[in-house]
Amino acid sequence: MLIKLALKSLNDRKGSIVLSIIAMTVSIFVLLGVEHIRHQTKESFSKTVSGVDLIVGARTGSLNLLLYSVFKIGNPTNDISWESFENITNNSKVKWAVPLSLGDSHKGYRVLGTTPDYFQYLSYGKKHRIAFEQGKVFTDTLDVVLGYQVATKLKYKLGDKLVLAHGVAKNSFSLHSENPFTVVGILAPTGTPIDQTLHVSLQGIEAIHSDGKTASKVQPKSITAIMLGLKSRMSTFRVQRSINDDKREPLLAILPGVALSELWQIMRILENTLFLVSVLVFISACLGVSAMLLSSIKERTQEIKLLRVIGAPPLFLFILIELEALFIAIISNVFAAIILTISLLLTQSYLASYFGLHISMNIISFNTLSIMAAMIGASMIVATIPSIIAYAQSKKRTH
Amino acid sequence: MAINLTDVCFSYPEQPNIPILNIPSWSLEQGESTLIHGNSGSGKSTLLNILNGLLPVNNGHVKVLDQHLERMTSRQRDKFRANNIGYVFQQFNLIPYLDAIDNIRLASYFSNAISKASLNKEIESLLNILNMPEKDWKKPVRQLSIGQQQRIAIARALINKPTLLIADEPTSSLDQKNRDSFMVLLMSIVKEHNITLLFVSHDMSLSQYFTRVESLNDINRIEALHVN
Repeated sequence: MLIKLALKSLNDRKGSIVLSIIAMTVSIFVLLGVEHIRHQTKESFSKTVSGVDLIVGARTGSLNLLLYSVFKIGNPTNDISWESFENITNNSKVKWAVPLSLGDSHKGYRVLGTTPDYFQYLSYGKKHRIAFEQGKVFTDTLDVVLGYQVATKLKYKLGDKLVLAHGVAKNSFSLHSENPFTVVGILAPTGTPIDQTLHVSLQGIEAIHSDGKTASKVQPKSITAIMLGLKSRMSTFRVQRSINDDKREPLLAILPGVALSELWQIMRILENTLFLVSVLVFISACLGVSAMLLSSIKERTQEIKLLRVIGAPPLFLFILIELEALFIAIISNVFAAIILTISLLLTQSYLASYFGLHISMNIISFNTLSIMAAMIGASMIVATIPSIIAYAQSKKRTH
Repeated sequence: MAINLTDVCFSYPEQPNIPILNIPSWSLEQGESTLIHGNSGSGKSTLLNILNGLLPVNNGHVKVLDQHLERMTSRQRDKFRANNIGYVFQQFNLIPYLDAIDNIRLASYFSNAISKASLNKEIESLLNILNMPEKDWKKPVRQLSIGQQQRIAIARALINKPTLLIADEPTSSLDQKNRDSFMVLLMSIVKEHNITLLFVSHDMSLSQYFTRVESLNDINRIEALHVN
């Protein structure tokens, strides 16, 4: 009966209730969204590189190198020469070295030039190897291996011919339609930027740039970055220093883990600011709900008097107002969760292709649930103000 | 004895120097139907709120249905009121956004007079006795006429089978025709269930329905206080 009364009374005051619910929904949406994306970004970023001891690129900031080599965000400042790659490969402490050559695109997806070692040595998440869903590694200059998303979004299958462009814009002017590439492999989904990448051999990259002359053995002059695996982790710092101190070419070697934590430090300020702002928005929404309930008590003097006369104790009035606040909070939470899911659904592919962020649609996690619970709790606490006033008013007297 | 007041004094805590009520002695027999008339400001609502236990008296004894209200806690008085006293106001007798059935059910929620199993049956029979057409049972009461609302108010007041029914100007917002049918209905139900009726109104033309008619000025002797 109490619940029914609370629901019907809310329903009776739709106008002001709907506004309160909208205000609260917006604040919960922001709060949940920030928290979810923050969590997912961290997870998505941390699982992208694993098994790589050092990343080498032209001298730049370590964050910049990490972002363009691993996440394909931003553009490389400079290339490194093929000689440097050979020097590093010949270092006795290096177990494997995978060259990366970036800078080309296909319909907005990045094209990566590399060697077959890429698929053998690189891993993601908790040391998962990159697996092939169909086909195999490229062998010919004009072979291409597609990331999972590239294949599904652009509906490519094995044996399809496609044209790669120079530059990274979605609609590139310099299409090299004379050199169509053949799809020879499609990778299994990884949830990392690999899914958004087309993989070709280094010779393939040269072929894109050599304007139609299909030289089967084109030696690349330069590459963008190198991923290194060392024979012993103990020598990481020594190898790093020897690369950084190389007199022949200015190079930078970074430890992916260290660079990632630098990234988190920068992000944390942003995260905390966003979180703080959304908490403040939420508090103001809570106060708005309470103010609305408070003014409703003024309107409902007669109703409170009636309830008292038919035998309702003051506690009943207290619980009634608290319940109304509870329902507003629950409804707002549900709406916010639905809207967040829909907006993630709409922006998922955009975030993935432009920022390399893989945000899961499933917003239900321990983290978000505890935030929701905390928000419901907070709104109940703020609602004690009008509830106590209702209690006091009903206790005092009735004229 | 339905009501027995001795040496009752009352003033509101905010204005302790202005006495509102001073009743040396007044009582009401079980089964009596009494009309008390008094002008507004004569302490009518205050007296009724003392009788239903919403207001505690400063002094004196308030015995309602042989229970000492001044010895009860406020929680006990709430329960006592729900179980024993039916109440009908001039207006705002019902929660406007609930339908007739829910309004009556709400009243029974605070009392244990009616078992949950027989509640629906009781509500239906009461609404039938009060000539409420069944199609209006499920409408929010604000959509119904004032006459219908007052009849639902009687049903609500009677659901917990009270022994005392207090009516505070229940006919003031009704027109002549509705007022007469309301009074006939009310008196027949009161008689049938042997309920003590305390009816407060400024309308002396209602006197014909009652066995006893009193003026509040005769009961409430504030003037005596001023002389002293």
